Amino acid sequence: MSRNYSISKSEFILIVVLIIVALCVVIGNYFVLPAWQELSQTRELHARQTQQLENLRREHGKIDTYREQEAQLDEEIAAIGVSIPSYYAQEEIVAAISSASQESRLDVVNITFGGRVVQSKDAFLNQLKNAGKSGGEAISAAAGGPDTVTAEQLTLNVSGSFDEYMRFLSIFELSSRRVFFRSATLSAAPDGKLTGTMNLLVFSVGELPETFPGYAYDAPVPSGREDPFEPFDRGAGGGSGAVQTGAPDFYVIISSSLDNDSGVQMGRYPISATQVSTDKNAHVTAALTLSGSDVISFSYTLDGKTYSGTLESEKDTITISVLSRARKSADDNVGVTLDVTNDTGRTVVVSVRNDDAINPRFKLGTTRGTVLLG
Amino acid sequence: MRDINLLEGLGSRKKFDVKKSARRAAIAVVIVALLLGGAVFGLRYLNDQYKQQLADISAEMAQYKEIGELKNTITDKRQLIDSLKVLLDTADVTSRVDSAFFETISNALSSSVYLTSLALNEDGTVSLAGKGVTREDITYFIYSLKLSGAFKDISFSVISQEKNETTDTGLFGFAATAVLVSEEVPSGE
Repeated sequence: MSRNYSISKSEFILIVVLIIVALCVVIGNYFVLPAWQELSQTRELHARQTQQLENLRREHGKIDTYREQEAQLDEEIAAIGVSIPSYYAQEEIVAAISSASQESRLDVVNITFGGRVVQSKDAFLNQLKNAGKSGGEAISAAAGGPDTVTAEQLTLNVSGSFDEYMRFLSIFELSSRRVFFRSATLSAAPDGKLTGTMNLLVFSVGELPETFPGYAYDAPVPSGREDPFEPFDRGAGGGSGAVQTGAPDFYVIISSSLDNDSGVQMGRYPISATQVSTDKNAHVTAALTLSGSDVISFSYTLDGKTYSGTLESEKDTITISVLSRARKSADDNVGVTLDVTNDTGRTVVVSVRNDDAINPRFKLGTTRGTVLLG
Repeated sequence: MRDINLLEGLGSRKKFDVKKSARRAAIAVVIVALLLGGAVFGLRYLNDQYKQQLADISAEMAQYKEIGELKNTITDKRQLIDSLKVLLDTADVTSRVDSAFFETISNALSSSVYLTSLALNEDGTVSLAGKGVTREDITYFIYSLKLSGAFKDISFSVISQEKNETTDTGLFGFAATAVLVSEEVPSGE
């Protein structure tokens, strides 16, 4: 029986169908499906890349706008760099203290340097926020990259009158290079003379260079000496006096209507003869016009009074420092709107200090050329 | 009764031509295999086409690489500016010694009171010492300081009478402490 057995048609069809199904399963699983999955992934990638390309084409059409934005940001960084440079130079700070001391007549008897500290921005911020408090957040010592802060605290022993002390403070408040007075003590002697200490914080932001960073300091060329230990002749020392590199080019001082020197004063720093002022207890307008390239011609008008002159400076920025005060009453209406026309090709940086937080006394009006609030 | 021939079915089974059917089946299997192979080939061909287009897209995107770098630079510069502003603002609001502070003290003083010493610490605590003609003059000064809104927790440490025996005149010395109202420190984010 088994030797004569032959397959039936149904059985044959069943076997063939099974073979075809098996073939489909094997080829489908090992060849068709992977190829389909690969194609699907490639298509998705293609769709994404096409979309990205479209976006890039669209963005590339706006490349000029982006370049303008970058240039504007560079100017903003340069404006902030006037207040906080990327390098720290003790000689610059000493020159500023010396210059302010000479100008205010406040005797700076002693300057003690606390030592340069390099730390990360976060660590520095923690230190500022927790100054004088115990149990503050842990301070990281990690430092590196553009967020590195180089800071130093200086202690000044000063002696003089209260007016001299206030002038000394105001000079630094007007200065475009920002320094911060952290603490102070003052004691009055029976003769009215004040003695005291001031703790001064100076910092810069940027990577600490291994070599001289190449900043320009207005120092005279040394003549050289044959004998470095030979004392100088009395009266021959001292030189011409240091130039305060952080001094602004122009200043605007806004005082309360309740102060003795009420109103607004505007001038070319530090020449008081160039000052124009108004004692109105009202919001007034002022205008500053700058033109020229090597020698800058300037003209400023405050409440109808005008002063004109020229300014020689090799700096890339022209600085205007505005020293304001908080309003003392609802009737204290002193304020100024400053319009600036800058046709010099340089950047004008306007820095405002101590203004009223709720109702500012100073407003930057219309501007032409590059004028930035620093 | 019906006669059942069991060999009848066996005879009809013999009529099925296995060889011929096997040939047909083999052709069907080959056709199916060819169809599946063609599908694989087609899918791979399409895949290659897409890959070629991707290569073209990548080449064109490389031409626009500048825009990506420019945008990254802009983002970095914005972050730098924000970071510098936070530093400046924080240093500003936590550094309390300025001419406005001394003016606030001066404006609260009358002609009958003067200071002999003044200290302002980094944490905003202020120590004052001075002299007044009367105790009331000293209290008016402290009250004026409170009215200025610049201080909180103003309190006397001591008020003492100081008599000059030679001139037979008296003064009152005082010492007080205060804490400056703190300004909001930038969050830094």
